[in-house]
Amino acid sequence: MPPIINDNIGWWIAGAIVVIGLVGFGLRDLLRFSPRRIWAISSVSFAESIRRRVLWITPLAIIGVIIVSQLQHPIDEQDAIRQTIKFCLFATGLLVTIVIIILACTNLPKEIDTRVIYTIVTKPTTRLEIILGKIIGFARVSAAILIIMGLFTWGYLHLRAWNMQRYIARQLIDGDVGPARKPSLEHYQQSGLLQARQLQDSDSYEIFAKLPQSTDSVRWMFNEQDFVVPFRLGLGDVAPADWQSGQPLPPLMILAHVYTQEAPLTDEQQEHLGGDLLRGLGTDTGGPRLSDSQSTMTAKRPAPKVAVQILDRNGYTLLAPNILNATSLTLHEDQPLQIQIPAEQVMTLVNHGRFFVSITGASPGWMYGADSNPVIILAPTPQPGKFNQIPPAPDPRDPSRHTPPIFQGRSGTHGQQLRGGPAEFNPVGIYRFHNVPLPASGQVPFEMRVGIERTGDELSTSTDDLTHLSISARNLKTGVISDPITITPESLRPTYFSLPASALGDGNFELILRNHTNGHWIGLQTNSVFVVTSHQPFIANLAKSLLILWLMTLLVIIIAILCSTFLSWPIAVVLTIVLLLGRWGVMQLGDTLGSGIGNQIATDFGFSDPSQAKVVSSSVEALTKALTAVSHVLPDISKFSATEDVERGVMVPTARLAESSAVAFGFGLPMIVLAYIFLKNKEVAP
Amino acid sequence: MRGRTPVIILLIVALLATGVTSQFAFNRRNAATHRPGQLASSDTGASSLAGMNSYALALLLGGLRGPLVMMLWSSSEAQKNEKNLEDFDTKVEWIRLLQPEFDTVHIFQIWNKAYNISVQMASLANKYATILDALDYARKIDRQKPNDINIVEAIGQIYFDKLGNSAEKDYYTQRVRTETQWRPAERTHPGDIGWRRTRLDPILDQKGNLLPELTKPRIARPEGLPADSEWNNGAEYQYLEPYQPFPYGVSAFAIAYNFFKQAQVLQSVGKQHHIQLSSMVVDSRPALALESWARDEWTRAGEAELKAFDKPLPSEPLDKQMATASLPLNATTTHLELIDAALYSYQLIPRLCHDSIAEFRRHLLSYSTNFWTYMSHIDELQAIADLTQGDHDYLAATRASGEVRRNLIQSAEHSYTAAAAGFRRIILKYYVDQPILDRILPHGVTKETVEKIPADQLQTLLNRVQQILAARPAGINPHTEDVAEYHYYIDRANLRLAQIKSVK
Amino acid sequence: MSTSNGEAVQTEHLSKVYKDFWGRDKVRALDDLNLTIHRGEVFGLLGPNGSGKSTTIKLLLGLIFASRGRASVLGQPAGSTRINERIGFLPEESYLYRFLNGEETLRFYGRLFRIPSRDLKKRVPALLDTVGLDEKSRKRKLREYSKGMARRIGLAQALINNPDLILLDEPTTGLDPIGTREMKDLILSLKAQGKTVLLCSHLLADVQDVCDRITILFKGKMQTIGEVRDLLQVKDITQVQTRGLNETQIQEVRQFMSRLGGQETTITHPTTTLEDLFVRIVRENTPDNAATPPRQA
Repeated sequence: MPPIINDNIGWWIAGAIVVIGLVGFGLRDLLRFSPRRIWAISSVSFAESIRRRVLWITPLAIIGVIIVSQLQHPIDEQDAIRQTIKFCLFATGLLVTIVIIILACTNLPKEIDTRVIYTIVTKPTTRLEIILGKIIGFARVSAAILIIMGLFTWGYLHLRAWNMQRYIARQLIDGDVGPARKPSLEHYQQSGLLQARQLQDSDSYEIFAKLPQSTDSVRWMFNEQDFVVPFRLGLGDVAPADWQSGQPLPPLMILAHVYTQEAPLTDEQQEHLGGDLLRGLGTDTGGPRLSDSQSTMTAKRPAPKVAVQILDRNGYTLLAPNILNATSLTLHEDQPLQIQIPAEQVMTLVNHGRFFVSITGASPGWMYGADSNPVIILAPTPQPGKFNQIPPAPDPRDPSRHTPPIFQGRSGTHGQQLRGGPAEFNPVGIYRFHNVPLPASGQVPFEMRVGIERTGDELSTSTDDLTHLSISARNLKTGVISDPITITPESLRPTYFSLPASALGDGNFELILRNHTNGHWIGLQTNSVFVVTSHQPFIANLAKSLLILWLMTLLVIIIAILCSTFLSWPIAVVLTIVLLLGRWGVMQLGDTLGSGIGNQIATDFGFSDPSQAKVVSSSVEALTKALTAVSHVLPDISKFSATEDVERGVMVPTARLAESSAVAFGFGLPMIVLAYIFLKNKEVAP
Repeated sequence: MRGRTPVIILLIVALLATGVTSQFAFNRRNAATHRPGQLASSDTGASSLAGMNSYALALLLGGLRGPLVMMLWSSSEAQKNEKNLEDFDTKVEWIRLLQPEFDTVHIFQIWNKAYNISVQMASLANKYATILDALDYARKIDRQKPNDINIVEAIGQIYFDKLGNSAEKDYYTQRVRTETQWRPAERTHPGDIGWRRTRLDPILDQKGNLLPELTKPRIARPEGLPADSEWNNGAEYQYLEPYQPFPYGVSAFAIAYNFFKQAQVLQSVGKQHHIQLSSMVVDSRPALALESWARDEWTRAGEAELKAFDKPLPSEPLDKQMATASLPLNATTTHLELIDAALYSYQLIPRLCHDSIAEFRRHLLSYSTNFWTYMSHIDELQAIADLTQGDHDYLAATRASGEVRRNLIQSAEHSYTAAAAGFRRIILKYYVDQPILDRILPHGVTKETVEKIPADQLQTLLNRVQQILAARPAGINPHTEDVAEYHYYIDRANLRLAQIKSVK
Repeated sequence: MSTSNGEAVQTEHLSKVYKDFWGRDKVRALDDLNLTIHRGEVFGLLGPNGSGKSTTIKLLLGLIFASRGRASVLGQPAGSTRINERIGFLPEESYLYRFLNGEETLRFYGRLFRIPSRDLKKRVPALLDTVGLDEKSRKRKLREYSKGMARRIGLAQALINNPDLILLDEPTTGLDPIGTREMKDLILSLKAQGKTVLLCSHLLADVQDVCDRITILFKGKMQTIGEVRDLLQVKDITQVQTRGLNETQIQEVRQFMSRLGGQETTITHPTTTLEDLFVRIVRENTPDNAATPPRQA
């Protein structure tokens, strides 16, 4: 099937249903299409809902939200606002969905039961107009509910934010605020609590031993850090010309050139180096155990060593160092490392497609360096002594060159660890931003959220030692580095800071991070730091989220009306919910529905007889496959995510609106046509 | 519709009446047993709505309580594992409101907050605030269900294990002491939106006495109860009252002792049983808490003494013992307030030791299986009492004169002699292997009757033990470190005795 | 009865079999109906309960689908949406939106016919006057209407589009004698306008008064069809009516009849109908009503 069809098969099927349904079955009705009749029917549906006092449920929901908001236990003022937004939008979404499902599922069956439909279908109204009229009528009802709840949300949040601001001002005046909290409160006071901002995260994040300069050919890392180089292997790269499937592939050779430089030693490290005892490395819990690792040193600086392994695209170990016989390889000057990939492992790499060669520093007292092309893979050719050189994967930003090595810190609980202490002994983290829209002058706000781990030694103190992180910016065009600012982040809490726009140049810059607090390890990820590029009033953001909710209710109405054309209303309600949540439910089950579940079920239920077990197992496997297949044709309601961005004070992106519309109309239109066909062929007077 | 409206109104009124009636009954019960005390003001949260009774909330939710609770549990635990703490506290609060009757839930959440969540904070201040949150949670439950052994024990455990004995104890214990002292009323209140607890409420007045409402008895003693039987009289800090005033704040261990003692009485007299801990553990905790309190005061006394005489603070705790051991009796200092602080602690420690011994003895009457373990505690406490009594008298003598000074020096000599003998007996009793004892102990004396040995013979026996051990290949004695600690104390006592002898 | 070009309704072998959930035949409601209704006539569809009257109406309106045969309405296949522009239907019960009032109901149905708003503004009050709903009633919700008021508003919605063919299912059910009389007068006035009326009822007296032709259905089959007068005539009896004879003259007439060979001669005074008597008394006692002479049987 051509890619344009295969890649968009869902849209093609939807289009086919719509076209065949309307043109094939309903051309006459389509030609009689009257918006006035549709609006008349929608007005009656709307009036019925209003006169049934459906909107009176909104005060109950409002009271519920107010009550629940009092039961908050926020970590700070911004969190209180965030939780209140969550409650308001959750209540709104729940209320409007439940109301609409009940209204839409019961309407048609009720009109058929009470025979009101007689006086409608005996008028020159087509079934299509009836369906559309009802959909539009209930869409108007949901819009009314959303407008009421939206107005309440806006008003209530402004009231709460106003109260919070008074409380913040009082705290700042009293001075009764801890040093870690004060910058956050000042930020809230300045920027407000009801924000809608657009965030842009970095393109990359690396950790180095020394701040790389543009003229440096080699970049450096400390012991326990690693650098990774991506590769992509195809069969054509590694298989001999006469290779046949099932035959073993020849082994490959990793050729790596790693530079070394003696690293400056702390007093403690020097003391350890003078000791006699060799003690084992600390445990592998990922916690900061610098002092333990340093205690491995013997009387003199050990030889520089590295460990080599292969990671998959997600960073998990694919081939461990022991498989590659590369647990501890001594580096010799001007002599590249040669690591063989066993023949039986080559196919694993080919099957994975993209993988990383990781080289980790394994001896303290050294820095390990790599140039722009430190690793290649060699594949044997038929000619003895001749090899194919397989370079690293192309750089996505510039496919004409290879991806340079990516320098990483040790993995901790919260991400890559940036060790704390004096600059000459501890690494520097670099976040790289490209094409960030910036103002010409003034301050550019940033947000950061990190996790912090501490060594045990630092805790036996009666004073609280805050984590001090200095941040400066380097203009990538001019190379100028700004004066550093120092912030004191708390673990797992947002921290706010700003840098002058003049330091960030044309939007291409690096943030240079140094952790100055000994014994503290800051865990960072690529999305730990954001630059705030623009702001929007809260009401606009709220309106967008309500619009997404409205699109969701539109889909709910369509599904409910479709189900009610051929089912009684109780079953229609159930089927509507199943259709809405089916795909989401299968996604939640995730890997549970993977292969092997049949055997697992058979084992769990104690089927010892092999033939019985096989029947159960294959039935369950078939069922899960069917479930997964069916879920693909159901709408994905996670695309109607309306609350997360507003909660976090982030602008709802236009793409999200487009996504929601695509799902609503992409699934909705064929369902409308199906409902029309069902109703057209239904005897409404049984 | 007309017929339905009165029914709906009636249902709403009935629901509200349920909440009001329940709150009325709750208030009546609390008026009889209520302990307003510490953290009382944190109940109501942002407004009176937050004081909504759990049962009213449960009624409001009807049959949805179960699914909502399930969702809250799974969501909060998933968030904890993902280190996402946003609205975690809110979910825990809702769990508390929706499941008020399950103590296992409360015990878990108290522990969860105090341990699992606090450890995710980086700054000590935020760790501490999280632990206070756990205490707040426990106190809210205590208000709903007063005199529940599970909750009372949990409160004591937080003070004892988390605030008193965790890796961050130095920071926590200092803050507890400081914050229990009187301070001016704060401008921010628990009722304020966004208020969050960062400090304990003070429990002392300006003179260091416990606030009257915290020691006021609220539960009448039952008439049939024997006169010598213990009884919780409903005062929040009933068991701390005998030790007041607290001019330097209250130790975390002291507060732990107070709640452990309440729990122990609830078990022994109230016949309640802790749902997780054995009765033996609950019964032993008051004694252990008193012992820890005594040691805490001992540490404070030693540090105050060092600072008073401008001595540097050694990093090793045992080195603190030796830093002032050679302090002459005529030493002077201008830091009189530090001397007062040291004297206060030194005079409190012997009392705490004796009270702890009494608690251990009480415990051993019912649980004799722990006899040998707790006898070592008793013996050590006695020796510490003697040593610190000596330290008190010695320090007081440095700024006394005349007859008072002579009496103090004499008393100190007596106490130090007893202390040295006590620690020597401990070494012989608990840290010397039986084969060696068989060789050195006088005839008719066993490990259990070491008290029979006169004090002046003890060192000779210890010297013989050292000779025997020295003759063995290295690394055979597993008690080296423990014994070294006691030698520090013996050396301190001996150095002080030497100083006393020099002025006589 | 006048006829016009083309038939109003024509059915050929029209049959309807209701099936159960499994598709098995359950009830044969209509069996091989061959029916023709001429334009401009008032046609009565009679039969006991379950005879197939409602089924026939539903088939003609497209509410259900025929199992066999064909039906055409005003020259178009039955159930065609286009032909609904020219049809009015009064169901046997008030199947209208109970939360709308009288005016709203008519405006709604008027919009379904795409009648312009300005025309609706005139037509709605006029129709409500025609069916006899006063100002106060128009503003009340339909759920508050009595049975008679409900029939009136039902009739109004059936006439909103000035249809050529009107199907009336049990139009006089629930109406008092005044209302019944008015309904019958209305039917006759519709006929006078050249409209075709298909009347379905089991109140035979009403049918007799207004229908030109009738058919009688029983167990889904047509039993008879024809003009009312012809069907009801007793051909072997001659009836003479005259005024102004006294008793003596009446005796002479009786003797004359005997001489001519007449048998079982009966000379009495004719009776009016109870309906006429009722109507006359009510109207005589209603101050603002012009007395309408009772209809002649």
